[in-house]
Amino acid sequence: MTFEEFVAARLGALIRYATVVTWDPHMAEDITQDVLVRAQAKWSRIGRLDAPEQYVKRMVLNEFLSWRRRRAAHLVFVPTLEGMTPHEPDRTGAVDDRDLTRRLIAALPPKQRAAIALRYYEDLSDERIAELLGCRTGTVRSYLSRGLATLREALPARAGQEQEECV
Amino acid sequence: MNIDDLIRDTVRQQEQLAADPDRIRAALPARAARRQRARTRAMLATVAAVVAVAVSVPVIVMRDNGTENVAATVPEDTTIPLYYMPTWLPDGMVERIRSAPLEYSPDARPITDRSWSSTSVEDQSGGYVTLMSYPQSQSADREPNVDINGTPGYYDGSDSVTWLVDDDTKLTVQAPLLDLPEDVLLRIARSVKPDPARWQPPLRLGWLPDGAIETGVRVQGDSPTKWWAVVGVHDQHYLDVSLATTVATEYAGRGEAITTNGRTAYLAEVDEGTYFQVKWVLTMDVGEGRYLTIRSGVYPDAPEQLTRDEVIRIAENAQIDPNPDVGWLGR
Repeated sequence: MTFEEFVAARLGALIRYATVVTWDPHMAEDITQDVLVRAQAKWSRIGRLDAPEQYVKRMVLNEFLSWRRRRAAHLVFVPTLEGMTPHEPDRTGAVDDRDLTRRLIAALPPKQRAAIALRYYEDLSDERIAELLGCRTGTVRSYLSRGLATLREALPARAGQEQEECV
Repeated sequence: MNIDDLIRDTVRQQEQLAADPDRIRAALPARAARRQRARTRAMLATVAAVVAVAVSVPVIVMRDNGTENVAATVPEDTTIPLYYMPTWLPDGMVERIRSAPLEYSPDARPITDRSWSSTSVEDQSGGYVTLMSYPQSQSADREPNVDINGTPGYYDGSDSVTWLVDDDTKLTVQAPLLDLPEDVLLRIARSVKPDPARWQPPLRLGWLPDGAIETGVRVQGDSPTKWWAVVGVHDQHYLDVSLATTVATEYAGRGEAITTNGRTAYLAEVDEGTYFQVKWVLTMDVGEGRYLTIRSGVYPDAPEQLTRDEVIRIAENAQIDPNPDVGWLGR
């Protein structure tokens, strides 16, 4: 597969993946462009891999964690969950829940957010997520556990209760 | 709906916000060309041992105890065209972000990105309106379904409108997280007019290691006294250079004290991170309530790091506008 064939076939999926991993369409676009330029320069090697898309996705993830570090160093006024407006359970619906969930995920620390994206968007195992994030499996479980706990605490009781019933 | 289903549902919703692949594909050749041009120039400059700054004006960079220091030069016209702006926005929305690729040429095609919001730029959960201009893609567009001042456009049914403003340029107005009605979004789009103004980034880099290039600049903030500017650098090394009205690193004021351009900078040798190993953090109070921060490190596939002297040289040659063009923030 040439680089041009890869871009033609997989760019849409790649930008969607980047948008979920970064949770920021603008950052996703910039990172994807940057990664593709770098990937093109190394395509003679990447193109021979069994799964070039997985390699490029990993480049996106790594770049995101770098970007997050860069931004986090400056975003000193990042809102905390405590500062968010409490949800009103009596007027929620599925749409409200999704909107709140989106905002809550946006406020999670980057690695928790990436772990959630890899689990719920890519359906990856803890082991595979650990490999991608460069950490131990236990650390991944900790990221997911903390992220989910944050969401459960902030979401309407209805969602949390249903989750407990499913556990 | 249990929480697992809710999260799956939400991430599927999030993927719908993904940018137009056509736009990304269209921008790739220019981005790759910029990188190649810069590398070629760096190589030629090294071989010839020539540093040419043909048309330049001095920039007074820093003042220390009343002493002025000319630390770097900046090309005469480093301003960036804005191209377009909406002339109508919902009440309370002010401009908070501008970003653009660098290395413009007279025949450059417009690529820029401006954002307005009614909430702080740091509020990641807040919605915003963004206007992006970029070269037209060669691939076919979606079926037009709206009219933008006589030009066919495409409304995605959610939060964005795209149309061809001329033969070479596409514009997109997007309003994520605002839940704007279609008529409001279209009103914003139809209000977009050419903007002849140009803006000057507060920070440019006068020196970079061979092979490294400035790829773009982004300025964001809520007011002229609260902002952050970062110059994107494409390099084999991890490199992050920013200027801000706050200093937000635990290494501020730590490490070796160095005098550069008449000011004291602090260079901390560190070893942090999992994938990107940060090796140096330089912080410097450049006066007037602004702080320069340089973070340098290594990628796993390029373990060579910048030397101490190279990091200091980047700081010495940082081109910091003493009167930053940030008056547009919050307006």
